[in-house]
Amino acid sequence: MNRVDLKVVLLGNAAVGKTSLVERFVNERFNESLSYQNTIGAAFAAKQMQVNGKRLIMGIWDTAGSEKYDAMSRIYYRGAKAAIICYDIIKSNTFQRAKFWIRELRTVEEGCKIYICATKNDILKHGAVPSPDINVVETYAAGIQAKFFITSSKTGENVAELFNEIAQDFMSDPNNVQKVEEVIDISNESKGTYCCQ
Amino acid sequence: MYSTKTPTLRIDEADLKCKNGCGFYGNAEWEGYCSKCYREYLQKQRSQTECNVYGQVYDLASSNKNNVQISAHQKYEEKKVQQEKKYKLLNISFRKPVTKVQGYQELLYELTKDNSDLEKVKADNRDLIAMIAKTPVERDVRKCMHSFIIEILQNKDVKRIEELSEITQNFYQVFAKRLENSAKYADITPEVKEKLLDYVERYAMTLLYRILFCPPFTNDEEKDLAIQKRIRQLNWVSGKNLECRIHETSSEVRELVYTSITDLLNMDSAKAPQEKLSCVIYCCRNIFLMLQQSVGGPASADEFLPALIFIVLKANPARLKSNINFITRFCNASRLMTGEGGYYFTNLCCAVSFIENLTAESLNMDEKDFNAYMSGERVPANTWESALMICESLHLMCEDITLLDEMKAKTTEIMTEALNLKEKMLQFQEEMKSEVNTVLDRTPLLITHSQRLPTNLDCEDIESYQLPPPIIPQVCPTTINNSTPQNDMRTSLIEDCITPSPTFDFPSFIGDDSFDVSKAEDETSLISLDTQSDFDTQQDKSTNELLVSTHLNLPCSTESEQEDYHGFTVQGSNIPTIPCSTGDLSLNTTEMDCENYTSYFHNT
Ligand SMILES: Nc1nc2c(ncn2[C@@H]2O[C@H](COP(=O)(O)OP(=O)(O)O)[C@@H](O)[C@H]2O)c(=O)[nH]1
Ligand SMILES: [Mg+2]
Repeated sequence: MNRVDLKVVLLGNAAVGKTSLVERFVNERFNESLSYQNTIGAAFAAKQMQVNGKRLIMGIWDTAGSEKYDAMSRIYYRGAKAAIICYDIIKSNTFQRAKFWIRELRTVEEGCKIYICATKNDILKHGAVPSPDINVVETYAAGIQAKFFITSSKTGENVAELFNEIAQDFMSDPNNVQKVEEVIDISNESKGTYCCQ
Repeated sequence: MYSTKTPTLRIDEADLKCKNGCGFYGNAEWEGYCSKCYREYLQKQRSQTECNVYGQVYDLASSNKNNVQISAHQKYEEKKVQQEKKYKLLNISFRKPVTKVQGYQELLYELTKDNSDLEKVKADNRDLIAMIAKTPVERDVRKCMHSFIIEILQNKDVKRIEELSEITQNFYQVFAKRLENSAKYADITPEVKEKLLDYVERYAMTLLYRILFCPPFTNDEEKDLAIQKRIRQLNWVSGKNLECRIHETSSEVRELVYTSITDLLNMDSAKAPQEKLSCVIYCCRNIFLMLQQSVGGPASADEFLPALIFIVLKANPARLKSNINFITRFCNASRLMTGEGGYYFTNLCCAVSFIENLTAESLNMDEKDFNAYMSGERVPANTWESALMICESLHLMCEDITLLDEMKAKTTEIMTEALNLKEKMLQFQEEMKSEVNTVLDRTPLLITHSQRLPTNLDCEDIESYQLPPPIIPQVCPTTINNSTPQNDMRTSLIEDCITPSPTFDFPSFIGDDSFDVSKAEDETSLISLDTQSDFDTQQDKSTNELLVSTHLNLPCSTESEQEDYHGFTVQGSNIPTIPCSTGDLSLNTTEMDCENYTSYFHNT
């Protein structure tokens, strides 16, 4: 099939800006007063993308950030090809939580690529100090072979880049391409046994 | 092959990796293994138990032979173990190929016949069916679907539900690829292909619903009851407990809560997995609408999940686990992995999982309060909460009412059927009567012919009857010489001979005494001579006694009678014609026949 569906999960504490990130990417807007009147829900979003001439539909799954749902978060990861783990660029506690999700993902869903996203970059311009230090996060990301993006949903900085990178990585991953080919193999081999008895 | 390449959305309490460490997911139902490792494990176990049983039997046999002293207790233990193992072995091999393979054709027919859901699927896709009608595409689709359905039917008793699920998912994939690559489908637009894929899934699953939904060889039903009980226990949980912001006072919000509850309840009555899934989608969309009203803006996952949990708790949908499992197993996995439906369904699974593992902590409340609510000591004060609590009971009542309605309909059906049967029986009776009457009219029973039969009994020879009285001339010379009174006597004698016995009319056959008399006479006449001698000796005795004595003497005469009877069966071919054509028979009757008749009467 020409169309490939890609599942991306969003993880992060409440109020780190996950919804805003999706909103910015999908609808290219940002509203500080939290009134995206036109959309019913901002929990699931699908966006069509074009990568290397191939059509791709990215499904973005927002998750509930509260700790009481931690036990169920692995249900969300299942089958995800990419996870965006958000933390508030000035709140170190949100980064600690991000590390928890990364550990979870690494053990449960190996095939899922991890993208660490520091949100609300625009507030640094107003004198806020990032916590933890950007260097610390970069080292950490390199150590776990995750990509690191600093975004701002307010200005739109790096948002499209983040999602494009995800799509590119997905399409360039030989595993995903292989998967498509293997499915064709199955159909060829089973044509004899399955459908032309 | 499929399960290892594309991870499916199997949700269970223990979503741990396979115990074998192969890197794939384990499952509580597979004892913590992944599907592949579990099968291997099962196989290993099976062969082991088999080995053990054989070993044990061999051990026992050899020990008996050598007469090794084993304490009675030990022997008993050994036997017990053996029996257990045998039982286990039996248990394992219970669903092995012993099952009939022939029956699936009938089963398929049974599943297809009068399936209104199937008709509905066809009606819903009428345009699509019309579009591909009488093209190679239709033939191919039909062929693929048929072979898949047959495969499921063949394997339903042999394979585990996970394997059936794998077959199904594999079929979806193969069929999708076939749509893509086969030349037969080259002229078809991608939209139609999508629709075809959907139709095939819908049709096949609707057809196989009875077999694949909550099958008896899984513990789905147990889990349904467990979650239902759990939700009932949690009916006091309020929106506040869950930290979901539901604007209870707004009637619009309430209306939306009720609608989403109804949507979720509808899931059980939907058949195809995607129909069930769309029930979930409707429910969730209504929740979002409701949240939008409550929050005053679009809700995100943080608000949505608690609200969904709330709705699930208040709806307590029937057979929740069975429905979730059915969707997980048989809904096209690509649909579940991505897309809105997949997202909502995943949230529903999360909600269920949350409910199952819910503690005081997850509701942010005191352990003591939690227990008080759980035990029913305390009930929520809020009236709307109470109303929602009643909601489930109301839904149960609704379900019961529909059940009762169904039963009522069935009873009336039975009643009408019974009346129909009664009418038919009466009609049958009437028909029978008239038929018998027509037959009787067509072939009247001519009893007059049989008149000769008893007459024959009386005369020894029928021809003697027609003979002119040749004996009379012999008597005549004497009478000429003698007086006329003798002449008178002669005429009376002639009269006796000519007049047929008036007593022997047919009615006498049935119940008249005259027949009995003749019978008695026949008896005596039939009985051989030695009875006659008896007769002579007991002449002075009354006739009654005479009859008795003849009867007493019958044993000695039975021999001759039996001989007669023997003759009767030998000549049997002539006999059946008697009742119908006695007239013809009278023409060629012989003395022998006469005798046979008499013996015939004796024996009857
Ligand atoms: N200044 C600024 N505020 C942001 C940004 N992203 C999100 N926010 C604010 O952070 C708050 C929480 O955002 P939300 O998207 O609801 O977070 P979520 O709970 O993770 O979905 C909202 O008030 C947003 O306006 C950003 O890039 N810059
Ligand atoms: Mg959010």
